Amino acid sequence: MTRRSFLDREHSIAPLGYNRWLVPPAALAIHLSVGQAYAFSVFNIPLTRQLGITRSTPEDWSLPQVSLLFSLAIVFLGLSAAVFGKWLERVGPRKAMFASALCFGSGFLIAALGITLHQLWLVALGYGVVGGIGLGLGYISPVSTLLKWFPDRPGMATGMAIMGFGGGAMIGSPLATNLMLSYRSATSTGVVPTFVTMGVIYMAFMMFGVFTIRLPRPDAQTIDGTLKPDSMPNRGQVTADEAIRTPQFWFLWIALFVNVTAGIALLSQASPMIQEIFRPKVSESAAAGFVGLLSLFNLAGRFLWSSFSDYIGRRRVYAIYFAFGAVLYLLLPSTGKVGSVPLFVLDCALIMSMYGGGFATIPAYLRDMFGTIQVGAIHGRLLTAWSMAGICGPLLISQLREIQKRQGIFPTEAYNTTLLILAGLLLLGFFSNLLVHAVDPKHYTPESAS
Amino acid sequence: MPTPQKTISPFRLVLAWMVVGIPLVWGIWNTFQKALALFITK
Repeated sequence: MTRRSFLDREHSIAPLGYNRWLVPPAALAIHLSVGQAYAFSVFNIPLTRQLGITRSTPEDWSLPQVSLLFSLAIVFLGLSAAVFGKWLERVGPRKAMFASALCFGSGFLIAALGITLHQLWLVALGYGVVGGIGLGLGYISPVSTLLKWFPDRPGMATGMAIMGFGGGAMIGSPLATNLMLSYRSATSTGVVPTFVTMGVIYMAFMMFGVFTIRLPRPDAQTIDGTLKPDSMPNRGQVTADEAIRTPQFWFLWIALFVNVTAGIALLSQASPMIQEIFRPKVSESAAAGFVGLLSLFNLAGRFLWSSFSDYIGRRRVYAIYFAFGAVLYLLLPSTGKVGSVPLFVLDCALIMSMYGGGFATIPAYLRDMFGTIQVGAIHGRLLTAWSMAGICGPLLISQLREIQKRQGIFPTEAYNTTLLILAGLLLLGFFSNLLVHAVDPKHYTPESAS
Repeated sequence: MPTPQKTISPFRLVLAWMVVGIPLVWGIWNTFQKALALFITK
């Protein structure tokens, strides 16, 4: 008798009659956890006061040093998703989710040790590298499983999971703030016990996903009708190595890169932009509320736009993101000129909903193009576009601002130029998306080609 | 031989959704309260 690990692919195949609606909660448990990364900024100020407690001392870490931890985590998200994608397809989602939980949770614990010893490299190794690998593995591991369980509604299924990533920041931010408040004392900022607590909580929460996830039986559709018929039954299957040799992969890479670059650029400037354009109408606390509202639209867009793509098709929905998005970017300065805060807020909220929608629709788009055989691995490789955009978006904005400041351009005028450039970027994405057509059958696996 | 058919109880399904739904709703509620500041004029 062979000993099978609980984590093995064979051991995670669903029994007959398994309810597929148990799979999205498993995926959400992972995405709600790893989505915490987007709330990392709540640690920025406390981490710069580890020695001074109430204020920064010269020996304390600086804000740019601390901000690098988040960027490092996002870079390792992209790298690990690209590198471990094929391994995930081989070992199945349960083992990959288990590895993700271990990495993400222990990343917090290693970082806590680094903060205690005041060694920034150890914090970077913990949260940035080990945690970042957990992020990447966790992000891609439930996606291909969901696509296999919901062949009739792939956009809705992945939209649900990736919505969880947006929701993760909404949970991570108040959780960290409340924990730091309760652990804070005259001699501590409370960051170290907060990291330890969060590491343990997230590891345990992700284990719920590990225990719940199931792969569909290959024969489920014919034996008991657990699976609904595929919405694209005659699609060819393409491996990850072959997919990157197709122009479709690179057109989609550009589309994702452009969508994320423009979205991140707007998001990073949202608070100062509304305050400067509508001075003195919008206060600092109202601007923080505006950023919160954008997060809500980002979250809703992930589910709604991606579900909508099941009805109108992925190419059309992406065309809407880019064409409608460009118009919305161009309209933003006009809303400022007429002094209408509600119109400005609505405009930005719609842009953010499509930014989130872009993330959530891409796995289903990849499945339409390349099939499900290695869609997790292909998705992982495409996420390098996200890592790249994570660096380019904020850099583009800060460089533009610097140039405009040197030229003495008035802040509100400066935003007009920035928004024009972002709209131009979206047009580039529009044409890239237009070039996405069915994959040449020569790239199909021999089994699916016949 | 196929594995015997096993149906999932609705209770287990509701419980699984509650495990992820409660934290998500808590997070959304917190963000919504923060967002309200935009519409409140002092």
